[in-house]
Parts: sequence; structure tokens; C-alpha cells
Amino acid sequence: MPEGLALEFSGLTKRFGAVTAVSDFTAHVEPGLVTGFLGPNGAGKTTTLRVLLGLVRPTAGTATIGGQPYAKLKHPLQTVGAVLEASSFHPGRSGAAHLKAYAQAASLPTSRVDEVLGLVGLADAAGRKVGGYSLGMRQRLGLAYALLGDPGVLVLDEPANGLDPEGIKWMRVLLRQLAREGRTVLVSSHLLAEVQQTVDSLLIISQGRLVFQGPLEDLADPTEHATVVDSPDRPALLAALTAADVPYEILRSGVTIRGIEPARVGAVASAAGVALSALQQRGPALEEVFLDLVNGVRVHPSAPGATGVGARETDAAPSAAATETPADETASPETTAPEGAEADAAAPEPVPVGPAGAEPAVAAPVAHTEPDELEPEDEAAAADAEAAETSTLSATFDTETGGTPQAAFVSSAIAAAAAAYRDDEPKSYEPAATEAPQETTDAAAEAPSGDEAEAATGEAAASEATTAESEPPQGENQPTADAPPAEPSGPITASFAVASTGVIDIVPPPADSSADSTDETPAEDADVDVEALGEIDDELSNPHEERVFAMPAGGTDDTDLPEDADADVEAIGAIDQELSEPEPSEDEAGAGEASDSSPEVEGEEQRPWGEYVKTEADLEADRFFAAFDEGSEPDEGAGEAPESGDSPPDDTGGGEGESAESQDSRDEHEGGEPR
Amino acid sequence: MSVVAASRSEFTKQFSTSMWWILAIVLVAYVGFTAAVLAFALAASTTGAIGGDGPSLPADRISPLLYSVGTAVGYVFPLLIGTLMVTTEFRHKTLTPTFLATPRRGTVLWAKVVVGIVVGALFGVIGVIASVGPAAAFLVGYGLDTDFSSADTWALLGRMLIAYVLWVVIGIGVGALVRNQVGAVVGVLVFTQFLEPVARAAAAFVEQIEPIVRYLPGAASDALVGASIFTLSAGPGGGTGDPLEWWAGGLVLLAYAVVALVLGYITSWRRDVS
Repeated sequence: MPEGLALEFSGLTKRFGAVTAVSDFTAHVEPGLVTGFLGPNGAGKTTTLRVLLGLVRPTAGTATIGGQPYAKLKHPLQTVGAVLEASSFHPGRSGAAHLKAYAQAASLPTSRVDEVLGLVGLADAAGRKVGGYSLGMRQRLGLAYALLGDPGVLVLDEPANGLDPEGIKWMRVLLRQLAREGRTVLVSSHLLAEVQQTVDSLLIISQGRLVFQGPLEDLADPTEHATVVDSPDRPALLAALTAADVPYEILRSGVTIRGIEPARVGAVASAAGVALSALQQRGPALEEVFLDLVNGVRVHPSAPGATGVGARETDAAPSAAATETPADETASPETTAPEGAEADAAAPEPVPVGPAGAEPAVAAPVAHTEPDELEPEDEAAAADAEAAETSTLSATFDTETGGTPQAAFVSSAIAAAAAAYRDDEPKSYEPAATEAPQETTDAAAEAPSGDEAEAATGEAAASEATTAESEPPQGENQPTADAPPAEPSGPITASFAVASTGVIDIVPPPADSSADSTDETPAEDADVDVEALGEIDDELSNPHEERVFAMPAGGTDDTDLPEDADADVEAIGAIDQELSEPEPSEDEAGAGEASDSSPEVEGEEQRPWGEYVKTEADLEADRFFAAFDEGSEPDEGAGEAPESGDSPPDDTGGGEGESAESQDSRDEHEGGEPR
Repeated sequence: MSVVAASRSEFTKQFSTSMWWILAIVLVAYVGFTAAVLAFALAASTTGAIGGDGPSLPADRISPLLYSVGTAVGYVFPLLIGTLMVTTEFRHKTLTPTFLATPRRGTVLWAKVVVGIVVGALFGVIGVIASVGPAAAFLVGYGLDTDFSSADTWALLGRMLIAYVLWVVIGIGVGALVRNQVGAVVGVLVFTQFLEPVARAAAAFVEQIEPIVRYLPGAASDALVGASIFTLSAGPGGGTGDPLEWWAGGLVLLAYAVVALVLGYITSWRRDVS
């Protein structure tokens, strides 16, 4: 049995010219555990792993395996197995020959080739040329290579890419099995959800720095749980909850109650004689915590190197540079710093409502001590017009993750924040129309900020015990009243919707500039759920977009429900499923189902982590259809205008243009890590 | 870890793709056709079967000239395959698993040289057969001596094998130096098929550059082999100044190989792999 060896990174720094890919990275990976290595694309994961494997020479520091650098290992393949990328094969060579060559190089018996091919389920394809392999088969072949020497250490870079859900499940089981045998397993990913079920321990890297190190449980605040309940007779349920003094929020997925155990909620319903159709507990929004860490909004003590302010400051420069031009907006997957929005200095219009509303949002969540020190700064910033830009990211995340991580109205808050920090969005978003990026700055930033305030108050109204303050109720009416005026005050050309996954949709300018504030139209489209991607796309053709941000002043009957802003892991899983569901979409045009979403896909068991990785041909097709979209978007919007108000939240039948766009956003979402 | 293990690995790599036999087929076709045409022309003109205006060669010079077509014309093939041995690894990113299995990169390069020598010998045999076969057939057909009884002929064929091996090694060095497969292939073709032939043709008329040109790799290769169709085309005088001695030509060619390998190793082979 091969012994697992500890991996040790010590002060690892790697610069490529002026770019610092990895900066003073110190971490320790224990044998016997599956350790997740998380970070957004471009955070330095691959570089770190390549340094560990002796493929890249560090500028400073060391990376050792069992105390030795890789190059000093006597039997490297028998010590460390690595899967670095899915394309390290000669397409004209058979899988078996590929493995045979390296078995020979490592002085392994060639019988081992057949063994590992059987192990990864490629025995039938062994003699075929790798050029004919699917992406999933290549991943398996890469894994077979890693397992050739039966190593005690396994290093896998994004191993789930291209695997189907079944393959991912298999991979999970395999990795767990290998770790149980005492091996060291280090597996990188840019999606927390992808590894969350697999890993025991986490390393999170952002902008080349370690921001978290420790067991998964340490990542989230255990108090960030929520109970989701629903009933066929919802009014009765709500009445019962109100009567029992249970604060609730109505999300698309049901009635969400924070900080109260399902048992008590069930008891309340039972006492009132209300039949329930759903009652479940939601985990903490790990993904949000992850994003906070990555964005530097939250700092975890396990990463001593990164202090909150320091991280933010260092982040600011690169992101500002990267987001200088609107053209970059669509292609800045790695810029995650809030301050990057400085690049958007074009939007310092006075926002009368924004600051007032934003402050409670920022101040309220005091659950995390570290972010606190940032808040004064944020509030100050909020006081001036740039508030929406410099502070919204942190404000939003504070809002979301502080006291009420799954706030009902976070969707609005995020939508508002999007106007400010869209450039810094960690993942991507898509411009709905070509003209959108440039003009959005002023009005869009301004208008939503009122909503943000409202969102904050909405949350406050949810009255989480820790966040309830006297201030929010004050602001509650004001923002809602002021928000509509705020919108028409500037030349509104576009708006945004942000998904918690980081996908921002820019909404095209309204055909008519009416504020719609009195409109009955639901705010469903600010949906943060992944399912919403498709819906948001739908909305792109909808001329009455600004209603997305204009929360109806009236109550919340069913049609007015905001979409579930919940960003919890199930939702991410659902997202992933959606992303991977549409079959290899050779027919992008027909991929209306791409935006089809099943809101119910929150089942605990089948969280598809799979992530469809596009082939060249797919990307080609995307570009092709995207070209059409840019040209035809406004017309489409006008054409569909009459129906816009009627579409129910879940109506996701996207047209061709929209689906192609959602494909685009997916593109960027899943874009390969730059090397 | 050892060079032996790495060489076995490289051997498997080399012969598990179709590159080698495709290049071999093209080599046979190209060299064979060229040798056949030249053999027909030279044999016919020497025997006077076609008009006797042109310069006719003494019969004893014909056979080495024809046999050496395998190197004089065909040397681009071992050069190419040596280049491809390295650049395919860059192109398909197989350098990553290669260096993971054999972290000592010098070992990998040595293994490639070892396999390159074997491949060079194999291509040498193929190239020699491709040039000697048609040439000898035409010589026999025109009743000329094939010189197979002469030890000089066999020495010439042996030196052709050496030239092939050296060319593969040069190719490995060039591949390591250039990395980019397309760039390397284009560069090799441009240099061997255009630049050097032009330079050598020019040297036939401009005496001043002749001392330089004779050290060009193609010229050195021809010197090593001891005969070349280029010495024929160099002019009726059999070329200006004498070519290098065969061993000197071999050393020059070897020097090219060593320099290319060392430069490739230092400047490129040890770089980061990503």
C-alpha cells in the first residue's frame, strides 16, 4: 500500500513577468483526506500545482512532497499521480500506447496499463486513438495515467471537467476511497459545489493568495441555516406563521424562515392545521462564503497572510486596470475586487435614496467580525455617489451572508449592486445588447440603488434577530417610495440582474421609459437562482425591464413573489445541472431547453455537478448565434413586449436568441483557466 | 528514471503514431523518384542514348552520384522527423506527462537522442534503398557498372547512414530550440529547400562565399557522404574549391547537432511547462 505523503507549500511565489500568479502561498495538505483546492479561474491554482509537480519553477519558496521536491523523487509516478489537463495526449496515439509509454518511463510493468484502463472504465477504448475520445474519456485517461504508479499522492486539476454526472459521482467515490486508503488527494476546482460533497478539507486561493485553509465545516457559520416550508394553502400557512410570530420571507422555492428549526415551523403549521407540501432545512450558503473569501470581503483567520483591507487594496489595482473599458466587462472573469468599480467613475450621480438604504444593509450584518472593519469605509463611500460602486459588492455580500444569507430580497440588492460592481463580477455576465455596457453606468447604477435600499429594508423586515435594528424600518417606506422616481431621473438605458453564481445579465433599455412602479409585474426576474439564468435571458427581450428593480410597493401576493435569492448549494447544484443538461448542444439554436429550468431541482441526492465543457465547435456556434443576437436584440424585445407582463416566473421558454446568449454566459462562466 | 527507461518510453511514443511511416513513405517516393529520373538522365547521356550535347560524366562517377541522392535530396526527412519528435510534445502538451514521469529533463532529451539515432538508422536504410534501388536498376538497364563490388560504394552507403543519424539529432535540437511545430517545420523546409541550395548555387559563381558555404549543414552532409548531385550542378568544373574531407564534414554536422541540442536544452527545454 503506497503511503500518503504530506504536501507542503512554503512561501510559494511565482511571477510571470509582471504578473504575480502565486504570492507567498503557504499551505499544508494532509494524507488521508480529500483536500479541495478552490479558487476562481486565474487565481493561481494550476500554477501552484505545476510548481508542486516540478513543471514550473517557483520565483520563490518551495513546494515539497513528503519533504522532497518533485524532481528529487526516486519514483515520481509511483509517488505522485497527477491529472493536470484533459488535453495532454497525442490524438494519433491510442490510449493504451499513451499509458504504455509512461509505464515504461516509470519502469512499471506494462500489465499495469490494462489494469488502470479497466479501473477507469476505458478498457473497451484502449486501442482507439485518443483523438476519437470524448472529453470525459480523456479525463478518464488522464486519471488512468495518474493511477499508473499506484501513487500515494494524487493531484487533480479540475478533474470533473467533461465528466457526465455519473462519471462525477464515480470520481467522487474513487477519490474518497483513495483518501480512505491513507493517500493524499488534492483536487482543484473553481466551483465549491463541485467538490463540496467530496472534500474533507479546503484550500481556497484568490489572486494567488491563500484565503482559507481548514476543514469544510469551518468555512460557514453554522447559524446560517434556513428552513423552507410551503403549503398548498399558502395564505393559511402565512397566517399561521404570522400568528406564531415567526418571521418569514416568501421566495419562489417557498416560504423561507431563518434561524428557526424545521421542527418548530412544522409544529406551528400543525397547530394551525395547515397541511404542508414542503419542509426542509437548507444549509448555509457556502458558496456565498466562498465568494466572499475570494473577493476579499470576508477574511478567514486560517489564512494569516491576507488581512481584509490589505487584500482589498491589493485587489483594487489589477481589477481597476482590467475593467477600465466597457469592452473588458464581458471578459473579466478574474477581477473580483470591489474597488475595481472605480473604473466606472462615470456614475457619480447623486443617489438620494441609495446611501440611506444601503447603510442598514451594510451595518446590519455583524455576524462576521472581520468585515466590520471594512464597513466604515463602505458606509463613507456609500455617502457619496460612488457608493453604489465602491461598496456595493461588500455591502451586498454582507447583506447576503451576514445575518440573512438567503434573504428574499437579496435578488434586488444584487441587481442593484450589479450596476456598480459588474466589472468586478468574479465570473461573468453577458451584455444583452451591444450598446449596453457603455451607457449603463449612470442611470443603471443610480436607479437600482434605491432598490438596494429597499432590499435592505426588505431584509430588515424579515427581522432576523441579530439584524433587526431601528433604522431599517425607517428606511423601509422611503426607498420604496423613492425608487420609482429615481429611475426616470436619468437616461435609463440598461439594467442588470445578477445571479449569485456571479452571472450578470444586462437588461436592454426599455422600449418605453415608464417607471412601472405601479405595475403589478412581479420582480421575479432579478432571480439569483441559477434557474433564473434562462429566465433572465427571457427578460432580455422584455422591454419593461426596469420593473425588475422596481419592487411593487404593494404587498406580496403570489404574483409578486421575488425569485428565490437563495444561493445555497442546492441551487448551485441545480445550476450545474442546467449548465450540463443541454446535451452537447450541437444545435445551439434549438437549445431552448438550455434555459429550461426546473425550480424543483433541489433534491438533496441528485445534485449534478457536471459541467459541460464546450468543444471548439460549440464555441463556434455560440459566436455565430451571438452575432445574430447583437444585431436583432432590440427588435426582438419590441416584438415580445406585449406579453412581457404575463410571463410567470418559471416560464423559461427562451427563444433562440436568448438561449444562445445564455450559452454565451455559460461560456464565460466555464471558460478555461488562462494559462 | 534512467535513460534506458526513458528511451523505451520514447521508442513507444515514436512508433505508436503514424508520423514515422507516413514520413518514410514520402521519403521513399521522393527520393526514389528523384533517383530514378537522374539515373535515367545521367545513364542515357553518358551512354549517348540521348543527344550527346550535354556534359557527360565519366561512367565511374555516376553511381556514387546517384546513390547519394538519398542524402543530398532526402536529408530533409531525417531532419523533419527529429524536429517532430520534440515539437509534437510541445504541440500536444504531452511534455507534461513526460516530465511528470521523468522529472529530470536532461534524461528525457538524452532518451530522445538515443531513439533519434535508431530512427535515423532506420530512415537511413530506407533512404538508401530508395535511392540505390532505382539508380542501380537504370545503371544495369543501360549496361553501366553498379559498383556494388567496390568497397568504396559500401563505404559511401555507410556514410549515408551516419548522415541520416546526425540529421535526426540535429532535428531534435532544432525542435527543442523552436518548440513551435509549424514554425519548426516551415523553418526546416525553407532552409533546406531554399536558402541553402541558393547559397550553394551562388557559391559556384562567387568564390568569396564558398569557404562559408562549405560549412553549411547540407554541404557538410554532402562532404560526409562524399558525393552529391550538387557537386554536379555546381558547374562543369566539378565545383570550385575542394569540399571538406568526409570526416571533416561529419564533424561539422556533428557540431551542428551538439550546438542545437545544447542551445535547445539551455534556452527552451528547461523552461516552465504550462
